[in-house]
Amino acid sequence: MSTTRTHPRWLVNARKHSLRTASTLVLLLVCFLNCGAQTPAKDSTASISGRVTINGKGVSGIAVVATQSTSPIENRTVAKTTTDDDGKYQLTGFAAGQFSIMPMAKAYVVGTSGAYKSPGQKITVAEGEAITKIDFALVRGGVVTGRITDTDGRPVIGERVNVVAKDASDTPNPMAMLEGPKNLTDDRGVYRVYGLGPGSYKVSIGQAPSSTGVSVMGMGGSQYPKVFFPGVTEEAKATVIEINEGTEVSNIDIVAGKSGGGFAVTGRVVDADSGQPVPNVYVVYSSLNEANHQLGGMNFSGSQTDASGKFRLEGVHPGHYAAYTMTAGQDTSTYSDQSPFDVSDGDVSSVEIKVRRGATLSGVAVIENNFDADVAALLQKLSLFAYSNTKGGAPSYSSGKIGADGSFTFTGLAPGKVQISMTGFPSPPKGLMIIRTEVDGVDQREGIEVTAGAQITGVRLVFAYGTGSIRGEVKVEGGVLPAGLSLRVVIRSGTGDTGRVVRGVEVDARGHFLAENIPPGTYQLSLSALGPDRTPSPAFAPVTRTVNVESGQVQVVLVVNLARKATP
Amino acid sequence: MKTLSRSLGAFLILAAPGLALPALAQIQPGPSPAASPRVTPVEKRVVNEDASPPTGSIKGRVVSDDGRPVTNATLIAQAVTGPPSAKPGRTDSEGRFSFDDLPQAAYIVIAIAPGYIDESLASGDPSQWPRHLIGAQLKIIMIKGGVITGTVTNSKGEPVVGVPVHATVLNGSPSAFSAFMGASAGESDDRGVYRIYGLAPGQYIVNAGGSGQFGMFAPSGFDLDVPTYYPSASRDTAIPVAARNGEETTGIDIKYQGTEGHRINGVVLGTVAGAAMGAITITLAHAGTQSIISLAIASPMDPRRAFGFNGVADGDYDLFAAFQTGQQNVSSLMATKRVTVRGGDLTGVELTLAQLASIAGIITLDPIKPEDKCDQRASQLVETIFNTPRDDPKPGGQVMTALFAGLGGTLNAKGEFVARNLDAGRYRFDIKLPTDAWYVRTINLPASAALSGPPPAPTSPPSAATKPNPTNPWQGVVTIKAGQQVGGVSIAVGQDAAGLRGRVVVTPEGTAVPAGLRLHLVPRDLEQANDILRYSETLVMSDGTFAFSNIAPGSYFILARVEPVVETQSPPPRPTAWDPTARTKLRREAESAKEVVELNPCQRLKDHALTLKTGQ
Repeated sequence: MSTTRTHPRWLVNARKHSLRTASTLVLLLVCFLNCGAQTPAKDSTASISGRVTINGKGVSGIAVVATQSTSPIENRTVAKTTTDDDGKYQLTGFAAGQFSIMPMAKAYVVGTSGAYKSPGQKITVAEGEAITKIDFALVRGGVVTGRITDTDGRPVIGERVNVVAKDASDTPNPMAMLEGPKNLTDDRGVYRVYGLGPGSYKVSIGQAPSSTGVSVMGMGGSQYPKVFFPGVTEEAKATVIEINEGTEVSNIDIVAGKSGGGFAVTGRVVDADSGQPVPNVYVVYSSLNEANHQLGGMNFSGSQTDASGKFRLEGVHPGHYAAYTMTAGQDTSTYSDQSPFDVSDGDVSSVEIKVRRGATLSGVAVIENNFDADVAALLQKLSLFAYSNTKGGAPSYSSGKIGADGSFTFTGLAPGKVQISMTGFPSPPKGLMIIRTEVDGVDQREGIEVTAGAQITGVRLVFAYGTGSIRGEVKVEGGVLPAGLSLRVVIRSGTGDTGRVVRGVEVDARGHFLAENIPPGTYQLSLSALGPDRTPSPAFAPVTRTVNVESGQVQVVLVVNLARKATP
Repeated sequence: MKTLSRSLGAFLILAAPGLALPALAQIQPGPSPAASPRVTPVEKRVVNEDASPPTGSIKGRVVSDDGRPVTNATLIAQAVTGPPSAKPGRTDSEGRFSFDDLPQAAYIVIAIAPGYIDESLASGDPSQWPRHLIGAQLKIIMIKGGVITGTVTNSKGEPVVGVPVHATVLNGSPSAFSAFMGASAGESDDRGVYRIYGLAPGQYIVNAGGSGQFGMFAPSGFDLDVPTYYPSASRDTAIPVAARNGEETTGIDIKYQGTEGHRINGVVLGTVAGAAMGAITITLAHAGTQSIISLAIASPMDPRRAFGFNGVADGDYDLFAAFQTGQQNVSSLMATKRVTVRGGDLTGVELTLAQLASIAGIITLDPIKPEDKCDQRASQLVETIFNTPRDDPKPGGQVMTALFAGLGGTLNAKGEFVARNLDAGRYRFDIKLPTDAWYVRTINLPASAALSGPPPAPTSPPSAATKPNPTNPWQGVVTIKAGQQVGGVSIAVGQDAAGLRGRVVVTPEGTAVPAGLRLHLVPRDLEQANDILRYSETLVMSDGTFAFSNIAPGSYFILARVEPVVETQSPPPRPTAWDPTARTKLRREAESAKEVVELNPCQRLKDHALTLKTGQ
């Protein structure tokens, strides 16, 4: 049994752990699948210590906390302490893993952090390790405050105000929804955004039609069109606000454009084969970029089809969109088209969404290098996901389980290239890795080509099992890395840079990284930098290294030579 | 087996107002409204001649309490009978909205606008929210919520920055919606200032820090701390703060203590049917007040189904786990446990889920010749609302179950109903008919053996349901045991009800209508002497007017009595006729008073005059 659904863009990203475009409310929903409790305690003797300074002077009484993500979306505070008279702190009781260390001084920033950057540091902790010198040099952040009113002069309440660095793209902050009332206007329309690093900022409210933000029942989105301070719709004409250390810029008032309004979009959902109406399915819509077939954030308003398959979407602002269905009840054998429509200056009717019978794909899962019954049983604990990447539309996906006999089936797949990946609770069973997807003995590295309605059988999903690990350190030569970069190591199987990506790990503040539960084999490590907006940075050319993993730990040092610039 | 999309779908169903929203809300026990939900009267005739099911509109206007239109309100029309559906809407520049092509059913209409509260939803208990039938014209009034504001500082008097501040209602109207919309949560800014708005009027306790409702997703850094309650107190010594409509309550300054709390860790046991879908929610509530302190979620997919809470102060707590599949036809599973935290962490707590009880049955319409019909609006059974309010006051934990009871009153087009998620206890039947042309003629419970039988099979219309069951006559309440699945309740509804309106004339002239004056209808037929459905009572208004509706045609004694005025209470007082002794006495008094009224089928007596002699 499995299910396929049109695959909104945010899900792809969520799966890739790139939470950039995903609204956290939807993450909350996903959490119904993936969230849970803390990991069981292992050896918990590692410690982290350092010093918190403001303008070079140690400050006492600052709380320092450690948080840990146990799944892509779950995050917990695991330890807390307070700085001493000299600003020193020590957190203890860590098991091996990755933690974020953060002084609770939210009005402060570290150096040149921009908006939304909390002064935290990611630290990879090895078992029993005593980590020192995780220091935080804080400066008082700036404040932007003002009032948002509507065209009638009434306060705009509960509206998110975006304060974005001048050169950054105005992407909705995915964690914004869980930030609580921060950055929201209050009942007087007043907002106050603090903890801004020195720099140049633009202030805006509202939602651009192409926004990647997700809206659920009107929450998460905005009912107002995008307006930048001092009241311009073009981002280029926005007044840039300069923030220095500890400055407060007030009266950054914005008059919101006309709210709500928008237009009604009506249509029907029908079965593509029979032409019969499809009742009781949720219809959602996303902005659609015709050029690259990318869907924007999903707008869910609770709109469902009635007995005759009719639906009605309200308050849709002018723009180019696609409408699709969320779920066809218990029917897991179908997927929905994404029906494009345009809203310009009036209601839109007769949008027809076709629900189609999808392809099926079945086969058997095997573990290639291990025949232990306990290890084989792990297969039944994971969930498989099949992604169908279509050329002419957004991907769809289906999920499945592996039976006791190793068999699995996906149904309802849209035509396209299908990639299979695994997930589990709260993460997949440790040590298992998909290394090949074979059809007729040939590895389908680019994905399995699936045509409309095809019934593909005999897929061989090959896993490897192992508990080796790669522990690495990054050394920088020939200069200092620009601030705001994050480093990432991608691990591919084999020796070249065309192997299957088996893992991606982040490099911590000390330049350390750790990849655990790696099956024996040869892997290529590739170190690259991401800019503050998570796009590849040209700071240096990727550094690669081939390693051989057996059962234990492999230590590597990756050297970045800043003298060698990346070729664009 | 489990998929992302399905869990999402499940959430969306859960997110349907009234199902999930209360689950996320901070609801406190308080006096439940004595009245059952009101159903807006519908004047308009809605008849669809073609074969497809009749549809219609619910229209209305949303205004703020100062009379100005609310132009940016989001509206949701949620069917509470028939197939589940939720339709979204939006007000226009005049504050108007319209839901068109709605299938015939009973609906809850919810208006949401930040900073405002839908007055009709002031009761946090969704089963008390007004139901509307198609054809209704609504005027929804939104009141500007109250504000609580102040600062949070540490022992040195410095601002505590970015600490979550929550206001939890103590009594009055729990703002289920505002809690979900985040309006009853605030956060201190860089000056330590917080401002919580959109609060329904009432008394609140205000606290800073603690894990809060979403601590597991976005730790604030203050989530290991024991919450500090205003002014600098524990929960037991917190000083309540008043919030008033559209007013600011200022100076609610909190001296933050920031002491680290304890942890509670545990697992959820018990078989979860279908196991893959939905989520197990675990709530931590303060035992003394039942206020919800934090919420955790465990996945049924997790073999351990583990949960944990941080920042817990010493004290007694109720842990409450619930599993909702999001499917309409599956009763929720629940577990409760009282735990004590004293000086250290509490680990290894086990919560074992068990199925809640349910009552199922069918409502059937008595056959009637078309020419004898007197229902002008082509009402459908699916518009009938069936609820099971508690008859006995419930001990602690009531709030918890209420959170998961949902909107109740589900009834499908065939008249089949199931009241789910019930605790053990005594329940009444609250049947709201969509037209005054109908009346509840008989209620038959299954034989007592069936009461302890297996879960109800889909009910079919009972053949011999036309007469009251002599061996098991309806006594007004049904008592169910924990986890009991009661099936086979049959309810017959007559379609030729009568109505009676009039005025009590008090003599000597000029005498005021006595407070607590009630009128009783008592069946004259001796065979009906113990049929409590044939008895009716109504309070006489201060101007002497009275009204009975949905009355079985027949011959009645009408009796006026001055009875003690009872304060609003929960549960509301039982009708006099439910008590055999009181019934006998009532009947005797009615027989001796000899005031008779004859009500023919479909008759609406309008100007019945009744003389009450006072001042003997």
